[in-house]
Amino acid sequence: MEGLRSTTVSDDPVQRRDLILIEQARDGDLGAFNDLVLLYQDQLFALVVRMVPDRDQAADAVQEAFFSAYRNLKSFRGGSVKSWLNRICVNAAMDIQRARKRRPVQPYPELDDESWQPPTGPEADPERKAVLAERTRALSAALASITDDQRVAIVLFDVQGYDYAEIADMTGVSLGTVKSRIHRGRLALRDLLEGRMELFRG
Amino acid sequence: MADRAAAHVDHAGHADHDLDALAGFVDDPAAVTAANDASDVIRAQALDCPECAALVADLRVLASATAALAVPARTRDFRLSPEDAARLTPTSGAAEPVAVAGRLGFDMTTPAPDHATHDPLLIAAHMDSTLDARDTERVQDWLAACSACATLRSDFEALAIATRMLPTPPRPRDFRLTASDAERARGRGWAWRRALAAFGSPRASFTRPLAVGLTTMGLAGLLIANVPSVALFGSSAGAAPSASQTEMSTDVAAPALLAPAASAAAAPGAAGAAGSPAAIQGTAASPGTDIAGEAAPGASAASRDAYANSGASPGSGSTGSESAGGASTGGDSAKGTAPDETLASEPVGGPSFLVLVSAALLLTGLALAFLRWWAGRLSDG
Repeated sequence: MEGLRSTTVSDDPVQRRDLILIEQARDGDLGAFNDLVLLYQDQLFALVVRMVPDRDQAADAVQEAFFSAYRNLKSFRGGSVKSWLNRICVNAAMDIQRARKRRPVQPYPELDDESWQPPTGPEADPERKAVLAERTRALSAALASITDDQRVAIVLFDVQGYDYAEIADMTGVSLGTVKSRIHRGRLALRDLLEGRMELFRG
Repeated sequence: MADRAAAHVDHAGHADHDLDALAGFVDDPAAVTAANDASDVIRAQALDCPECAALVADLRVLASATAALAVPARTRDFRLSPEDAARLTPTSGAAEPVAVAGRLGFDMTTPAPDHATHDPLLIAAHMDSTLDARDTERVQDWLAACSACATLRSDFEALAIATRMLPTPPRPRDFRLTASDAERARGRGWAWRRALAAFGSPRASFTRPLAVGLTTMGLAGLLIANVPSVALFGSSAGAAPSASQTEMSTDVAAPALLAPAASAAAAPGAAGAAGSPAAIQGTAASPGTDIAGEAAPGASAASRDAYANSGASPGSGSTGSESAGGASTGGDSAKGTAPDETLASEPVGGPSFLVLVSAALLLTGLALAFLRWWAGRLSDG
């Protein structure tokens, strides 16, 4: 912990816990690293699966991100472990997307899979369930149709809540490019869904 | 509890005890035991009262029972739907006119006639509240006056909310690392593999066009160096082919190219040396001239003479760098110097600079392509 204490002192118990696990992992404790994996794998998969429109490839990206994190434990310089892992995952997702261009796959082949359907309460009426399912299907297909860069920017901004500067830092592009990707991506989504916007207007 | 109530009645001093302070015993009995200050002393005295002790015990039982109360099942999901969010967000839906211009009779049910001039990207940016004051005012004017812009703005908002609410599919597997994963990720033996993988990584995608470019340049260079008809430095007139052969050919190409030229052009070459324009040109060129195109005819004539007279061994073709020397040879031959002696003193037999560079480019390009292919196989595996 000494190495990390010198750079970051956090009163946040979650961050302190993460730093302790990182330090133990640096000392060769694989169990500590796997505790981190257990803590963050669901969040990271939820992040990546929205960026990479193929569940298996998203899983590959997350796995590769954890490999990369383990390989580069020494390069962790303190701060938020979650942000560090998010950044590695975003890079892994972008790598997978570049590779996908070389070996294209069917985007979102599992859109009809029940697991992709939005959770609804037992009391939800069938009509509402159908509308929600249709909305999810339409939006997922539209998201898969915009450019990878636009999708990544929109997910990081609208879903994950990062600001422009953080996204620029994560993706290695300028602030203006991030803004442009987000705004053009929104416009592209709306154009793609123009005839079905009633699903979303409620 | 009835017994305790009776005891409460019987104890004369209990009525004076501070029951509110007594309730604090449940939360912090240690403070009572320590009795550090005046209030704690009062509480400590209260503990001597059986009614107070019973009350404390009852309070503790009630607190435990309250904590253990069963939680009823949640009757519904409290997440907001997009409709809820749209209803609750002040700026969503058909926006109220916010600018004075918007209240002066525009029909909100139809797009403004100049809607095409309204920048939809500015409207998309308006969602993030990062526009400067001037652009914010412009967009607000549009939203107030143009129903199409207002709809677009609310659509952006609805889509952002729907994107945020997209369900996440279940994680397909556990991402924890096994011991062998960890060893592979950190092991030294895999360093070369990681280095190789860098060639095939998507971030190194520039290596592909680079490999193609290098290979193409190498092939083109070799073609230029070996095919006489596309020689870069060939001269005009009848001596040109022979000149190009002499200057540009390699060791390998020399036998095939030079032997016929030597026999077929021997007579013209001799004639040229005797006074043809080529010979005159070669004579005019001073020894060591830099102008290879001018020196070449003389040089080729000398070369032809040399091969014709001495039967110079194949593979003695001069290189491009020898063109100045060739000119010197041509000049010498025109002056009557024995050509074979001159040629024998020249450094001959090395591949041209162009050939060397081309071969290097070709090999580098092919090596890069091979590394990419190998890295791709590794990553697939």
